[in-house]
Amino acid sequence: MKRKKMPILQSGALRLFLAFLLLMASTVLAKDKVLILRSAGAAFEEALNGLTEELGNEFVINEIILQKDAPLEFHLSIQKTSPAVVVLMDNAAINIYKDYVRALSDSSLETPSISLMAIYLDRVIQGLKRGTGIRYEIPAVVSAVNMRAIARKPLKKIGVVYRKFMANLITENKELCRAEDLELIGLELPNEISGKPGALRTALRTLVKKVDVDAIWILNDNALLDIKFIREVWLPELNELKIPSIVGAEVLVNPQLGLGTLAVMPDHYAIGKQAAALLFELLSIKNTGELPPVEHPLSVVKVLNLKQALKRLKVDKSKLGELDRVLD
Amino acid sequence: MLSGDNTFSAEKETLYVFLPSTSRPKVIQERLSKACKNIEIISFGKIEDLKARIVSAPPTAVLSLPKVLALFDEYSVVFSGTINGSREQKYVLLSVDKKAKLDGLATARVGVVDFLGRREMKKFLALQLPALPKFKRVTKVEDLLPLLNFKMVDAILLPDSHVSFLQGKSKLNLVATQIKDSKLAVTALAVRTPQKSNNLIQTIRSLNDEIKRLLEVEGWSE
Repeated sequence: MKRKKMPILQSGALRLFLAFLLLMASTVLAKDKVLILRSAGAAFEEALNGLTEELGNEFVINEIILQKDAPLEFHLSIQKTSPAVVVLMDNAAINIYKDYVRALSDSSLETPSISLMAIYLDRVIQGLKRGTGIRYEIPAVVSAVNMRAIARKPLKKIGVVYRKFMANLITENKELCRAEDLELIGLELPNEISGKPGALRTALRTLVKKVDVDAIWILNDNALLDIKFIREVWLPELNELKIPSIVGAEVLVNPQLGLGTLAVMPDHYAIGKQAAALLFELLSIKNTGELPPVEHPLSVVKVLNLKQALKRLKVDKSKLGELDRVLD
Repeated sequence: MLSGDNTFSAEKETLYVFLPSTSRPKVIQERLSKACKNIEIISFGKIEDLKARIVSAPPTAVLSLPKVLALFDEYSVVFSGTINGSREQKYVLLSVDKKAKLDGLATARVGVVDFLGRREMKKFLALQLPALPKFKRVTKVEDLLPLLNFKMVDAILLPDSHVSFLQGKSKLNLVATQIKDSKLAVTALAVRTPQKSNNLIQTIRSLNDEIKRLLEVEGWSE
């Protein structure tokens, strides 16, 4: 077989070009890798935009979207690419990573992780020795300060009904509220409340009529926001008690539903940016054995049910420009 | 995070607005559009969006902080806003209960609204402060308050005009610390081709006081 002779590099320009290519290749190789495991959907894409815009071209970013084969693909990808950091978006992604970590023969091989957009994140990431993240729940102090900022009605006492397993979250929120001269008053229900709307009804009436709270903070708890509870308790009671309420989902401030007064929700793009900042921090201290603490989300989106806010909150119309959306 | 659609009518002059202010971009766009009926206006909430759009669809003019306008070589400032008669305002540190220690800045954590992007912001802040602290950057003015609520920073850095906004919103005992020689230039208007932008320049110059307040200026200065 006749072999073709390789041309000798005589041209200076060609040598220069090859040197440039080598330099570029080594730059790419030197970049840290970030592996993202996330669910599909607009909120996750927004967070991803914030994250990738902030990370710029300083990292090689690989992304796996949760579907049937995602766990296997994720396990293979993490072994093949050896990412510097794994970003996990939502509870399912975190659990897949926890399965991977549990199966490691040596726990020191655990890749640092940043978890976000997960419910009760602190509990979910337990077991990840090198895991930190951003909580998804908006603390009462943020929501209440934002409601107070647009209200002419004084806002000092905030009532909340919660299930027993959330006791620690409520204690932490009480402390945060106190510094802002807000009093968070909670009434605890048992963990199992299915089919028992009476307990919720009694708790709500107690908070408004006996404790005299100025507003109700409605937690994003599937059990408390069960359709039966919405229909039989929340809607009739809040209407009768004429009390403003803070909710954590836009659908709940829809004027046609008439449940919530102000929705305060995470700004997903900003969560992505915040995660990027956490990632930079994590990498800057990676050799110290330290871990940045789990953070609260810093940025929110605010949507107001104007009709209800005018009646129950005596909203200051000059402040409406501070809101993201005003529904009427 | 753009506000409104992005199609321009052929005849209208176009103005892009990017202000790290206490009002939402959408509100700025709506109110400014009502006041400037002959101008197509898009207000941006993110510097990245502004940068991308200026490349893909260059507008007649841009209204923003001079530090932002300086990123765009093809645009030159025609006039600047003033507050208290000055084209600059002080940057101050705001902390809870006690003044910020300027001599301990290098080890402090400071919150700031990022209006330039990570790298550019760091360069800008290095010129503003006697020492460079560890920064926590946020996207909106109101996001500075949670940084203090959650004790994630020792102080926040903000222009003087935003202090009353946060003090009015929070019951924390917010204490301001002046920083010598630290200043932020006020909102300004930059145009691409001054000769072809007379209508737009005149319209912005004659905005009423309410709209000027929305743009965080009290007057204009050549």
